Amino acid sequence: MTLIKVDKTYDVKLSGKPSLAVDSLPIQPIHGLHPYRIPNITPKLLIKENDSVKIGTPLFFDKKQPDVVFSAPVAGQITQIVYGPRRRLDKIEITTSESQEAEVLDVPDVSSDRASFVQSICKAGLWGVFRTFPFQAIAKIDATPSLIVLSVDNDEPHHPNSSIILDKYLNEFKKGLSVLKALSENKVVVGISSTNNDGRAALGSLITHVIEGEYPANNPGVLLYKVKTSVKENSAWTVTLQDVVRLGHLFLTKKYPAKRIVCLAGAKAINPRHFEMIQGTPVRSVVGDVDESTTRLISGGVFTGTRVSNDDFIGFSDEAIHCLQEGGDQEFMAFMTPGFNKASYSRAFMSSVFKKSSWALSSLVNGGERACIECGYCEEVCPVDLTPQAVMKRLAGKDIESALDFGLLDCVDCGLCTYVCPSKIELGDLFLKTKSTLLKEVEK
Amino acid sequence: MKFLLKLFHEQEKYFKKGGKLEKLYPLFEAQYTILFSQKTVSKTRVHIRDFLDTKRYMITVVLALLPCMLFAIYNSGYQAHAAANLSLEHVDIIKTGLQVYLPLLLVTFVVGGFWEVIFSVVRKHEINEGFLVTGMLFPLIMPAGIPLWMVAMGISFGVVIGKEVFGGTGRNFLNPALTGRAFLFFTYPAFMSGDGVWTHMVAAKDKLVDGFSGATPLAVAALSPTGEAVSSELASAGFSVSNMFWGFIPGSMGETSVFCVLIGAAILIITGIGSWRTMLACVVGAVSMSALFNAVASPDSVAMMSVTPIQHLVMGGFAFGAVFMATDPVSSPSQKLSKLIYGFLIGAIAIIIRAVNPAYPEGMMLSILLMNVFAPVIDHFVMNAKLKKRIPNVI
Repeated sequence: MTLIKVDKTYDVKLSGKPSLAVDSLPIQPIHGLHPYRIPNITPKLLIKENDSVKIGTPLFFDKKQPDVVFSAPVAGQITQIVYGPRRRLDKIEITTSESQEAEVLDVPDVSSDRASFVQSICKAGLWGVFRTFPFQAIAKIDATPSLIVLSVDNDEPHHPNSSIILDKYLNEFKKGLSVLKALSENKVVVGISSTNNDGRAALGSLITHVIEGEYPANNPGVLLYKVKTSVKENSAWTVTLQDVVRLGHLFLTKKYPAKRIVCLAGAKAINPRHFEMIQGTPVRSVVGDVDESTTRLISGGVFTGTRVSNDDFIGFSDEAIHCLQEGGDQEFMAFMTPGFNKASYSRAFMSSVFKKSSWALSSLVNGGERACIECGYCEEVCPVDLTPQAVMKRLAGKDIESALDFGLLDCVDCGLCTYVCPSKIELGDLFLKTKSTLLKEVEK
Repeated sequence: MKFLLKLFHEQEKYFKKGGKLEKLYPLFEAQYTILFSQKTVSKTRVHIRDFLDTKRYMITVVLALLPCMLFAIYNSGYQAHAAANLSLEHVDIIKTGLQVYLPLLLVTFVVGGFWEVIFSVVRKHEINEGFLVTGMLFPLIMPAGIPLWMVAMGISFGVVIGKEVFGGTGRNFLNPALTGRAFLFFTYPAFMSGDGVWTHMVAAKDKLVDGFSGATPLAVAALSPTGEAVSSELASAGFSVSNMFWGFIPGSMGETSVFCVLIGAAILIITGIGSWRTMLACVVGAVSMSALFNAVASPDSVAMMSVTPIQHLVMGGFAFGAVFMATDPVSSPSQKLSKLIYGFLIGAIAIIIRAVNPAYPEGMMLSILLMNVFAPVIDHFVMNAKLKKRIPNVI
């Protein structure tokens, strides 16, 4: 077990942390999937409206790798398929039936030959859980990973507490981990937060690295940056904790694992807590009725999440729903006030002397966009030692090569540079867009 | 306030794209956002943002400048009254001081602001807060006796050539306020150096007190017959180290009081807005250079070589430059190590100019501008050294 210290991190101390209570949500009348929200795939349908599906029936596949399918989390009838702009596959709605029949999947043992159990993961609709660095594209099914990086804790505010997941599904996790080991010839890195004592006790010798630091120290990308020793490991794979559990579940039960732990969080959430639910549950059944003009619903955390609406569904890899205050009052001469109630990474407000234990922030940008003034805050919070402002300037000059030399592909999209920037420059957005353009070039 | 906010909301449509006054949007935006915080919300996946914006950033520097500004008002009045043998009552002094300082400040903001607005309107971007600081700094580095038209010339050159032609705040490689001062220094040397410019004259020349010289400590030290005599020459002119520290002496308006500069430095360092690395490195550079000169000085060498490190630190514009000018984030390098190198060289070069260049008694302005030019080079080497430690990740 190696201790990894990540220095350049920052804890915003966001309020609305979910309690450890776990509510069990029953199956809902309508479940759904949002293929477009699964990053870096080109979804193609395998079913039509009015088809009947069982749990685990493949619904669509990725055109880039036709073997990679995504399956139905519930049994029932396809009632609606919605396309968005440019025929983007927006939504597949399933009206659930009373008897929840599941497809029986042919899953060999971990010890069998690699090709057959890779195929079985694909057929079960779970190959999509393997993401590769640096573009977060789905792993190639015929490739052997140089390394698989797994971080037990997600420290972005707010995500499910890993001890709840490990407590409920320890056996599944262990089985899933053995799948990872078989896939990568034992090259699996398992990192866990130094503050997670329960998890460390439960996993014991399975842990390879203990991580010390605030957000985003436990990000798998940061872990990879800290453990990698060669250029080859830049293309390592990563899986989330819940997805390892799903893999384990598949190999133990030979059925599609549709259950997920999802947390409701945020200052505007009513009774923030954890839920055990079936994938595809409507967001509304988790958050209740909220006014979306004053509450921003985010799937995931506040630094990397995507906006969702109350009519959406909990997706394939969603783990959290955050209710954030949308907008706020326009304060008079706000920049002249002492700033007791203004959260800041800098020390330019009185809040840095009189510290608050938690902050209820809003979606306000708190300033106008300006040119970079080289204040250097972005560099101070970059967990992978980039100089974000220098990378940004190179990209502004369309010099992608030197941006890459500066380590752009090590960026883990944690969003901290964007958060702290006093000039309100969308650094993270620029990096992400550049990387997705690069991915398209690479895939050509 | 609700009424005012409503007014802004109503007027906004005229300044938005397609509105009648679309071209004046930067002007509208500046007033609106100074009075009220913005209502923009995050549109990307980073949903929350820090409360620090450039307005807060710049206003913190202005706050740090306040002690120097207040002292500039008092001292320019005091110097004027002392020279003319007028009443030394605080009220009278402050009155004269305000008469000297306020017109300078006003001209700076009106003329400089004019250029800012012109460039913002033409370029269609918001008016940048950086000018707040430039506009505050500029009068403080002027001699009290400067004619106002010259102030207008100086700030115009500083804003237009020092900043706007390169793309505005954030893209300038020179400190705009110092660029303006350097322009005046080389264009109108008679008004920017010598003994007669540092005091605002409230009386005719023949009405001045006997023995009034108006010389700054740097001029006195430079003119000492020998190196050994520097300290006694300074002392007899009334420039003991403690006098120079408190600052009731002639000099550019805001630079004389090291005490007030230190208050500003404390504010900048505590808030983290100014880099302590740059400031510290400046001091270290100046101290080591002057100690070196002290060590090699012989009775034949120039008098300035015998000025002690402590005297150098409290003389002239060194402290003011190190705290407020060298730390300008835009024109200084960005890396921590670069800041140390940059600061050290500023301090060292300032002392070299002071000691071995007989033409310029003060070297801080020129050394900061010189290092501004070299800042990107320092950063280049420091960043490249850092990149060598990375495992390459390219495609």
